[in-house]
Amino acid sequence: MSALGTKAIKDVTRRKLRSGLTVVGIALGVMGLTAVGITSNQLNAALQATNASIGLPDIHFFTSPASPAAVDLLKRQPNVKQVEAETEVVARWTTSTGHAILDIQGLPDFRHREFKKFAITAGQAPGPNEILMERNDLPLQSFHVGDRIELQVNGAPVSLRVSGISQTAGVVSASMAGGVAYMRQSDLEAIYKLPGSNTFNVRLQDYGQRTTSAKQLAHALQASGVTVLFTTIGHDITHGGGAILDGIFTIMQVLSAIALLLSIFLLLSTITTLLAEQVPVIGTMKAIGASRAQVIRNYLLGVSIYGVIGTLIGFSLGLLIGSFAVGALGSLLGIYAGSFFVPPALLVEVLVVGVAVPMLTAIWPLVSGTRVTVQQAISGYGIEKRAGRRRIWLRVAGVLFGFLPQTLQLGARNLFRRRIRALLTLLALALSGAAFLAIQTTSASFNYLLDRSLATYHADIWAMLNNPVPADKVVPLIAGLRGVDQIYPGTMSFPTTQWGQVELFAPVSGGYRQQLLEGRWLSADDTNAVVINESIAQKTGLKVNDWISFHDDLHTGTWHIIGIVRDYANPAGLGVMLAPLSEINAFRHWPNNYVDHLLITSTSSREADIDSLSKRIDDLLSLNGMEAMVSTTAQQEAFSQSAFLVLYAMFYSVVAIVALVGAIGLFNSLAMGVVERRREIGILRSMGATGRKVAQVFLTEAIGLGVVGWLTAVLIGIPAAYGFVALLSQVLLRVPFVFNPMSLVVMLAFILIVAALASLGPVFGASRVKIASTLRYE
Amino acid sequence: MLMARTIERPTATDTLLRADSISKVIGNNGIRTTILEDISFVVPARSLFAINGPSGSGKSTLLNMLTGIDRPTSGRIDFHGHQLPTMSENQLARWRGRNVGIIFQFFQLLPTLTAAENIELALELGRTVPHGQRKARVQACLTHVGLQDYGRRLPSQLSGGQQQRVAVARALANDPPVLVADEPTGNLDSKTAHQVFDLLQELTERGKSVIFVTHDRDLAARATDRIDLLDGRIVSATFRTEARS
Repeated sequence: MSALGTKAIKDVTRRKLRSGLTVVGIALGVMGLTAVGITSNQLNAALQATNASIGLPDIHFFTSPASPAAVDLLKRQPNVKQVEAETEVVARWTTSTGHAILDIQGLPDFRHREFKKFAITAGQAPGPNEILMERNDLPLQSFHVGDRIELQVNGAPVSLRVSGISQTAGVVSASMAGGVAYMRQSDLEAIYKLPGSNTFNVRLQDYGQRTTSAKQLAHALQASGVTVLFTTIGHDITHGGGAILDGIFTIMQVLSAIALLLSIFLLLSTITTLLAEQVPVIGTMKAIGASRAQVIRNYLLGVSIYGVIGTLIGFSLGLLIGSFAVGALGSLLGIYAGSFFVPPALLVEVLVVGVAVPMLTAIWPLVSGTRVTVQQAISGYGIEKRAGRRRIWLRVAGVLFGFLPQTLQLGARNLFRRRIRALLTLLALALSGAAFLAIQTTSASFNYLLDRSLATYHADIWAMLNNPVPADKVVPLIAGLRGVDQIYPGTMSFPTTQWGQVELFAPVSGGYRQQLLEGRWLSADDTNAVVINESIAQKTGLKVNDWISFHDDLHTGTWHIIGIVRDYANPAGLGVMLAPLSEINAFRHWPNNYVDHLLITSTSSREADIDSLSKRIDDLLSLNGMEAMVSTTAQQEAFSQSAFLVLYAMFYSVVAIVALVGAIGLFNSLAMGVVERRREIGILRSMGATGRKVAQVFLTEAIGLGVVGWLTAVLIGIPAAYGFVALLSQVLLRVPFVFNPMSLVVMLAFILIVAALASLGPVFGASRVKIASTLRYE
Repeated sequence: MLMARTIERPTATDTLLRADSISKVIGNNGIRTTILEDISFVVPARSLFAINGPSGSGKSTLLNMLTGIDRPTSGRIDFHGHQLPTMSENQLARWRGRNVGIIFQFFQLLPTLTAAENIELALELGRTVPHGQRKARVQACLTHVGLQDYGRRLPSQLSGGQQQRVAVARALANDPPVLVADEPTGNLDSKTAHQVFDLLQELTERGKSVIFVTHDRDLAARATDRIDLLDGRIVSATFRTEARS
């Protein structure tokens, strides 16, 4: 190893904490980038492979029960290559903790299956009174081949033997969407007394014509008296979940970029501190023959060591996390991730980000820091010639802090002694504060969204029916229960506009707290009339009296906008459109009085009573063959908040990192102040200053930088918070920007705590400086 | 090209260095202070040349100018054909690396490198010795100053005298014709100071030129040639080496 190489390595290893933290900063950025890159690449590839391999139908119809003639009818239609009829029932499965939803698919043939293929990993296909359970069901209730499970069918138990265990690609985690199972079609129809198939899988000759064909086929079914309830067109195993994943990946990439940006600050701080420490060394190197380029190259070697180590650590951890995330998300989405691979482009990206960017970042401080001449370097620190440039600040500080004791004044006056370093420290502190403010604001915005979304509806209990039913069948049933105050039946659909997907919701007077902003509210005799929410109006530019066109897979509509309301529903989509139930059913070609959800209020406001009523509603609906997801408003709120927990965890991890970077920046700055001002400290000590007094000087400097950092953070933090919330709205959830001024106070406390913690080491060091060691060479 | 040139080894009768009317004035906010005023002298080759004077006389400033570390406000410095004030910092650095060995009062060893590595660093920068021969050269330099067994030690593990001898070894690494020393014994006890000075004196006997700054009259008296400074002016000069010019 050459002497220059040895020096570079020892520069890195000499200050272990500082070097370690710099490496950690680079590693975190690289880790995030790698993990996101690996996960998104692997999952996207797996999704594509799964979509291509499992035989998803080109069109999937869920209908009212139909006779076998419907299959022949569909087969006769143009562009149809293959049709398969099945029966699907959402069943109530009795488990040790109560019950769970079980989506049972009744198949006519288990041997020659063309659509939604699955593998039987244990046991065999079901025979009479048997059921094939999906492996993903196990978290809901443990079972083995040969065990018996119990279904509640219209209130009566039905026992079935588990014939085997299946594994189906695309079946999401049971904890998210309930279980999946397979039975013989004839058995399932017999148990549930269904007069025919209710599911049709269609393969087309020309996949490109799928939308046109779907409309034709739906029309044919409806013409033959079969009601089409839901339609899925195309091959997307995630049913739109991929877009949410992409949104999460985008946010993770942004957070990684923030970590990397901060690591660059850390690196700048480390390099400038190292150079300041090594001014005499640079002078000596130049004195014995080193050119400036040689000195710069030598320090760049040190930076490349930081970069290589940080990249290796970050890349390794990123691979681990990526592999774990691919496994976890793959399991959640029910897809097999396939063999692990690292895209070459990701490798290049990681090297650029982890090694090249730090080296490029270091060039400016190196060029600037190595400008020192031999004479300046070896003549030590005397009276600064540049002090004259700080005269303005010194005068301002004199006026502002003149009332303070001299030791405190000394700290205040030294705030901008090294302007570049002070600027970097302030930026690091301000960035920490701004990130903290952004995350605080985002959390507040999420909470506001959640609160407002639920507050729009007047309901204690939500019953989301698996299949639509006539309102006059379900409402009297629930109304007979003790404790029920009001029932608001409704329906909800998700058509698409040219700007994106909207929620089409039928509000019921009393069950919906409208906040009308413009125009008027719906009236009973409105036809083709719609009220849109603020979000749609803002994103599309549509106004009252304009027309809005929308469509689902089969139907299209163009309605007149009569009003604009404030409503935070459907934050992941374009917004919400409100229309009468009859209009929405007419659009979907459903019978006029069909509803698919109920909002119910309780006569009691006690949570225990509401919970009890919720359970009784659930039981009653099941007893009457209407399976539903029944939950209380409190449960919905808790569920939504738990969904945000992962995001919060990511956000606060970033806050922790930025706080660390801010603290290290300040630590470096103060530590350098102590190193450079040893003579000043010696003079103070020789004049009788105690260690505590000396500590006060540096603590004042730390707190002063903290306060100025806070002021800067206020300036950049609010726009940063707005930008971050806007980004979230763009890629994940439309969140209203809610700013709480108290966040500024919390941020000040946060920055001051960071500043105080960062100053502990240098302040302690300064207070222990011995006079003899500082004045020995003077 | 200037920066690639090295000094031709001066003969005994050459003039190593000629300073003509050099002055150094520093000023800040209209206050001007003259450090050196109209100094002219020559340094004969292979001499042990002392720049002597009390504290504040300007001797270190003068020495810095003779090595290109500092620049005069006016005047010329001809270092065996090189006009130092006209050279850039990088040209001066390369020139120093090959032609001048500098010894500082406070040694200025790199604290993270061992004694041997400090010497090797000078070899790397000077590029006068092929890579494969550097270790041997380092050992030879250490042996020359009597520290052959101390190569693996860090500066902090050496005494002041030993550190200064490493600094001398480092200065000798590229075999420069000239050594320049700023108060080389100023930070050493009397006995060690004389040992280090003996070493410098011995180097002139081997053909090197040594220019040193001192405020110690005894050490100055041991020089072959000397100038005495007071308040930035030459107050006396003694030349025993015969210079052609």
